[in-house]
Order: sequence, then C-alpha cells, then structure tokens
Amino acid sequence: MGLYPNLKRAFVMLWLLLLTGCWSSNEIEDLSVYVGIALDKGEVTAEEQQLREQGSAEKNIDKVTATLQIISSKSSSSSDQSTKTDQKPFINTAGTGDSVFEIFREFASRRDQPVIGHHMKIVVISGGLARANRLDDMLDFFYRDNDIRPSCFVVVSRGEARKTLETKVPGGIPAFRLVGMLDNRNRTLEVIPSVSLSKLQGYLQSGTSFILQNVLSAQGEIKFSGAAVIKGETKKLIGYLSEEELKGLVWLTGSGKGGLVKAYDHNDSGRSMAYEMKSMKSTIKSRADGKKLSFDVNIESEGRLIELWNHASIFNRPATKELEAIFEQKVRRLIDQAIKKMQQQYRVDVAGFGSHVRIEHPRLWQSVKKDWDSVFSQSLIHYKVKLKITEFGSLID
Amino acid sequence: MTAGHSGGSEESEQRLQESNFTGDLVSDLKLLQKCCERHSDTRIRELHIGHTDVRAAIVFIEGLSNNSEIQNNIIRPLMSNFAERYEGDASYAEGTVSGSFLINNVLSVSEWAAQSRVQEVMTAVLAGSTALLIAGSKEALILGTTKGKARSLEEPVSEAVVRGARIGFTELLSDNIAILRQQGKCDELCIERFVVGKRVKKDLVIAYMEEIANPQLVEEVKRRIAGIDMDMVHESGYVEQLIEDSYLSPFPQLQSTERPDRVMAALVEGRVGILLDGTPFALIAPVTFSMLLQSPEDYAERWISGTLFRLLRLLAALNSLLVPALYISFISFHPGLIPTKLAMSILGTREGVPFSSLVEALIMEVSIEILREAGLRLPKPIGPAMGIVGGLVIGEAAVQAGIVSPILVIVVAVTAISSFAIPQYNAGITLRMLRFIAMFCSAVLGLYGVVLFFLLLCSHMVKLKSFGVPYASPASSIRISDWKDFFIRAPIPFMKSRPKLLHTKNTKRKG
Repeated sequence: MGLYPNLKRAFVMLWLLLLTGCWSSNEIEDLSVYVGIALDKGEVTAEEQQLREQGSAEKNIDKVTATLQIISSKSSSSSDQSTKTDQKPFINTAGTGDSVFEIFREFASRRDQPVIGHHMKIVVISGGLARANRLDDMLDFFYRDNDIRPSCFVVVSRGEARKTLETKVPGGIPAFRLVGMLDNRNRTLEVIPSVSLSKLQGYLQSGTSFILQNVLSAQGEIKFSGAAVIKGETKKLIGYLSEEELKGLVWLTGSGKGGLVKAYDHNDSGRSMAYEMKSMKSTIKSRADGKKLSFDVNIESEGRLIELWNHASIFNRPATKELEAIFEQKVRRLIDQAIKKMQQQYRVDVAGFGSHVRIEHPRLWQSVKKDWDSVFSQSLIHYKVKLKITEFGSLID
Repeated sequence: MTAGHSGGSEESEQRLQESNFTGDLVSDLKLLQKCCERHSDTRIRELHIGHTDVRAAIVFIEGLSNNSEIQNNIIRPLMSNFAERYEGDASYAEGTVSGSFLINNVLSVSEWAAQSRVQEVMTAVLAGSTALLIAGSKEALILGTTKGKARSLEEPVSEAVVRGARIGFTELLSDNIAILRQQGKCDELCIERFVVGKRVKKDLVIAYMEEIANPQLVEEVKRRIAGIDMDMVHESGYVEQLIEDSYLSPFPQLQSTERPDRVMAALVEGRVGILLDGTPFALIAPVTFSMLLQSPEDYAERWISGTLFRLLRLLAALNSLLVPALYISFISFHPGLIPTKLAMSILGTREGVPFSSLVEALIMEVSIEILREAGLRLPKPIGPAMGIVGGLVIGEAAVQAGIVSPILVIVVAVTAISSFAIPQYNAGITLRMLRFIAMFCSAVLGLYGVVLFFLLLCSHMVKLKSFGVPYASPASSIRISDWKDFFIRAPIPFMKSRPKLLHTKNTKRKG
C-alpha cells in the first residue's frame, strides 16, 4: 500500500463517502410545508373534475376530500412588504380520493414542491365524515406516516371542515389560530383538554367513548362550541354536546382550568351576575351494590364575584350565601343537562366514570367493561356542588 | 555563500579552524584574522598589559558585545599598572602574564572560560563574547560580554486578560528566564539548558519543579529535545512540531503561551516548560484539550464567574465547530426539526437563494476566513476601514443580492466570533479548520453525518496523547477529583491536590 497505508485507506473511505453525494437532501425551500389538514366528505372540486375528465383517472368512490393548508413561502418573506399585504400567507389545496395517502401523493403530480408533514399542527374532521367512517380508518395514514408528529391535534367540525381553515384576517394562518385557541383553557370552560393524535390512539385502542372539541365556522370566523361525541364501540361520531352540556360535563369532571358561571337572580328582578372560577375540584366515588352501580360526585369550587348588575348601593349586596346558592343552582342545571344527554340520549360515558370503577372495583369492572356504556347509562349519579365566593374583586364593598 | 571559494581554500580553512593556539601572539592573531576574513564585523585590538611589554589582543564583534563593559571591565584594568603585584604571584614567569592571574585579580567580568581551540573561540566571539589572547599563553580567555538586543517588556498581545499579570515574555531567553524566576522565590525551579540547531545554534531551556514534576516526564522531554535534528530551529513552533506526539492530528499537543504566569502555574501543577531563545512563545507539556479552553483569568476571578466563563467558552468551542454544519443539516435534511415559525421565516428568506445550503455556507465561511486573514496583514490605519467594508459586503450586500439568506449571516457571524472566544489562538484555528470538515459531513449525511463526525473527533481525541497524558483527560480516563478543574472551576480551597493525571511526585497543594 505504499508509504502511508492508513492515509490511503482513509482517503478511499472519504472518496466512497463523497460518492454518495448529498443523499436524501432536500432544501427546505424546495418543499411545501403543510400545517393543517381538513378532512371532508368526498366531494370533487370543479378543477379536479375537469382534470379527471381530461385525464381519464382511475375510478374512485371518492370517500374523502383532504384540504391541505400549505405555507406559501413567497409571501412569508419578510423582505417583501408590498406583496405581503394583498397575498395570503397560505394556500389551501384539496384532493379527493379513497385513500388519504393517495390524495397526498396526488399533490406530487400537481405541485412542483413535494409536501412534507413535519410541521402539521392540526387535523379537522368534518362531522359528516366522522359519522360515516371509523376514526381509526380515517387517521390510519397519519399514524403510519413518519413525517407527521403524534403531537398533532384533532378536532371535529360540525360543518364543513375546510371552512375552518379559512380566514379573512390578512397575514394570519388559520391552522395556527386553531392551535392557539386550544391553549385558552384558563379563560373559558368551552375549551376542553386538547386531544393529540397520540392521546386519540389511546382512546381508540381502549374502546372508551370520548369527546372531541367541536369547531364552528362562519364566513372566515371560527368558534369552539361544544363537543362531538365519539362512541367507543363503533369509533364513529354519534352526536354533539351543546355548549351548556359541555360546561356541565366539565363541572362534573372538574377538568376546567378557568372560566365563569353566569346566572340570573330571579328573586330580584332577574339581574345578571357572574362568578369567575379560580379552582375546580371534583371527586368521584363509585359505589357497587351488587351489579347496580352508583356514583357520588362531590364538586367544589372557589372563585370571585366578578360582575353583579343592578345593585342599588354598595351596601345593598345580597348575602354571599345567597349568591353562592344561585350559582350552585346554575351549575346543577348544567350538570343535569350533561348527565341527561350522556345517560339518556347518547348512552355513552364520556366523563371517565369507567376508570373510577376500574380502579375502585376491579373485579366488577371485568364483568361490566364489555358493555360499559349501557351499564353506565343505567347507573345513578348523585352529586353535590359547593361553590365558594372567596373575594369580590378589586371593588371594596 | 561559499560559491566564490574553491574547494581547496575551504579545506584549508577547515584545518585552520581545527588548529590550536600556539602561544605566539603574532601567528595566533594571523590565524584569527584568517578566520575572520568573512566576518567583517570582527574587531581586534592589540595592547600592552599592565604597563609591561607583554602584548595581548582582544577580539570581539562590534555591536553584539557590550562596548562599555569591554572598555571599563577589560581594557581599562588590563592597561592599569598591576605588574608589581604580579611579580609576587605564584604563576609569575618573566616576560609573560598568566591568564589565571588576570581572571583572579584584574578582569572584572563575571563569566569566563579558557579555550585553546581556534574554532571554539571563534564560535564564542561570534555569539558576542570577547576573546583575550595573551602573548605566551596557549589558551585564549573567553569573557562573557554578550549584550543581546532586546525590546522592553510588554503586555502579551495574543493572550490579553482583564485581571492578571500584564507582563509577557520577550525574545531574549535570559530575560525570559529572569521573568520566570521573578514569578516567585523558589529554589526548586530547575532550569536546564540545551543547544538546538545543528548549524545555527540556539539556546533552549526546559523548566520544571524538581520536587513536583514526574521525573519520567522530564526525561521524556529531554529525550525528545535531544532528538531535534535541524540545521536551525527558528521558533518554538519548530520545537513544538518536532517533539509532538502525532503530526497528523489537527490538535495542538503543546501549549504555547506568552504569559510567564501561565508557565509558572503549569510548572507548579507538575508540567514542564520549554523556552527557546529568540521567541516570546514558551511551550508547556503535556497538554490536555481542556487546558486550551482555560484562561488565567478563570482563577483570578471568583469561582462562580470562573466556572461560567469556562462553560461559555465550551459553548463557544462547540459553536465554532458545529453551528454551520447544523445549519446545513437542518436546512437540507431535517426541516421538521426547526420550530415551525422559524421554518416559515427561513422558507421565506431562502426563497430565491440559488445555491444549496452547503455552497451558500461555504461561500460565507470562506469569505469570512479571507477577511480574517487579510485583517492580520492590513496596515493598521487601513484595517478598521477594510473590516467595515468587508463586513458590510459579506453581511448586508450578499443578502440583498440574494446570494445568501440572512439566517446564514447570523450563523457565520456567531461562529466567527465564537472561534475567537477561545483563549488559545491555535486551538481556535483547529476548530475553524474542523468546521469545514463538519460542514461536508453534514452535507453528505445530514445530522447523522454531524454525529458521525463528532464521534470520530472524540475517538481521535481520546486516543491522542501528549507526552503520555491522554488528550481528553480527565474526561476519558475518568478521574473525578480532576474534574474540579475541568468544565467547572471549583473554589480554590477545594483544589487540594495537583492534577492526578500528571502523576506528580508531590500530590498535595495544601493541607
């Protein structure tokens, strides 16, 4: 090998390494980064229809329409101020087909830059689609694909999912807006703990029923409102909880981080008042009496009186106990609604009572877990609500 | 040089130089004059000594020897009247004066030697000594009158500190040794002299603490220095490269420093210092990688700030090594690892950049290296102006022209600044050099390539040794007690023992 055998060997190794070139290298600007996906019932768009007619594409049943929100690199450039104002920073493109993956790969024949899913933040599934298809079927691709992170969130839209990925605000990206709204749990009870793909996988595999945040859209505006109920057995959407029912459910489970209770004082000219919740705690105890199950729920909350209308003078405030009673009554009404909906209409347990039975009565659980949802809908739920007004805000009275 | 001379005359000169003095002043002087034919700066002055008829001659090099010393301490006493006293001396002989009498009674010169060989005398004279030839004596006296040309002491340029000694080594070895001794009174400090260079001879000194340094280490240093076979050793860099363990390694295996306090601190730890005449840079052996990231200031400041500075420098070292490589791998291979918002802005700014991230980074890195290299050579008045122009062109204009993305400008600026945060200049160069290899690795294999490169580098560092001490210690051969002076700098009272990795004779610093 000559004078420096090691040197030569190293040189050959280096050469072999360089021969490989920059394998799997893909410059970031040559890629399309999508940040959100909306899944709708299959509905071929007009352009797509024309393309299909010209190209005589494969026969499809067209189960799903996937709308991708792609970051548009041309307008996210900060140096070009002029183009930024009149151009949206995102592009929504839709594709229709029977397989989500097929739709994704269709984009390769429609766009110069291949799409990558590393930065996908949110999946919006339309209610209609979720009613007709199993969730685990629709999301199978997202779990298998190695680009997409399991931390990506899942929400349901009662209307068309693609509408939730639109906005009238220039410069804003709707997918980020949705993700940001999921963080507002310390302000309102209407936002429930966000469900990521990995959390969803847990629900789907254990077969429990659960709720997903519902998002409504109207003319580019969106709102979180209520929740979609997914039945664990079928893994399909069976209905929705209204805003009030959802609040009742949150009170029942004590999962709220912040929010308010608005109530009217019917004794005193129906004046409105608001209680800002600071803490919420719910202890659920299950009681087994033979095969008959019942639950004792003890709900405690502390908070402040944040708004009170029509009080004539600052000395003329109703007694704290009275106020508390009014708020407690309101909360009870919310909870009643939620329980009624769960037990009588949908007959599913989305409040997690099942896990209490599993922990506290493991033997019994073995016998009931198969059709837990129907057992639950026949069990009794006793609850007590105790609200405590600890302060009255900055107003001194 | 010898082109004009025939082989014959060279041979005769050889014979001339090998001959001894005869004792006959006239012929001896002729001999010397012949030797000095091509040393036109040699001065020969003849004189009668001690008011007697005995003739003598002094030979010296103008400028190289101390003129006033020759006048006051050699010529004046020689010409004074000491003949009467001499007649009572034991070595008295009619018509002569013995060298030993002159040394004992007349000449007030501290350094002397007697030499009978012409060549040795010439060598000494050419180094600045003065030779005294006395009629009737077969031996010439060599008197030490060397006056080196030195500059005044200055603050070390390459290793400035805010707090700490301001003194730096100079080019004169005797001064440097004196400065080193001045660091503190210590009778253990050994200074051993060597001569290096076959043709042009230079003094080299190794310094160590007798009671501390491992004798095997001292022997090894001596052995390697004795092995230096070069016609001239220009600078301590030559010594460094001739005695280091591995010439293929990119890492400096001896520490070079201008700071006497640094050398002294190393000696007290049990290391060996090497000082060469003619350079302000001393060498310290053995060295570990962590030493290159340390500054004397770490110890001068309180331990918390010292530790933080050290961690900061470690970060700077990693920065200057890896940041462009990470940039390339993130941009070209792993867009998913960039935070989404940042990915969006990078996406926007890189739109329209015609090059791949590797080419882009290479353009910027190379141009900033050129700027740095040019900055060294630019005349002082032009330097700052050119720096600004270069910085503007590289930073602003390149972005405006769409050649590079603004993110890369930040990356390049951070790495450039980081590499100068490393206290050792040559360690900074090493990291800058390795940065390019890291960039190629990342361009081929992405983050995986960067990891591979880093592993390769670590395994090389672990294998490398400097004078028997593992280069990556105390990390690789784990000695937890040495970690007190590694990434962190423990409070001084905790540092009771010397670094264990040096296997010093005496291990305790205190207590």
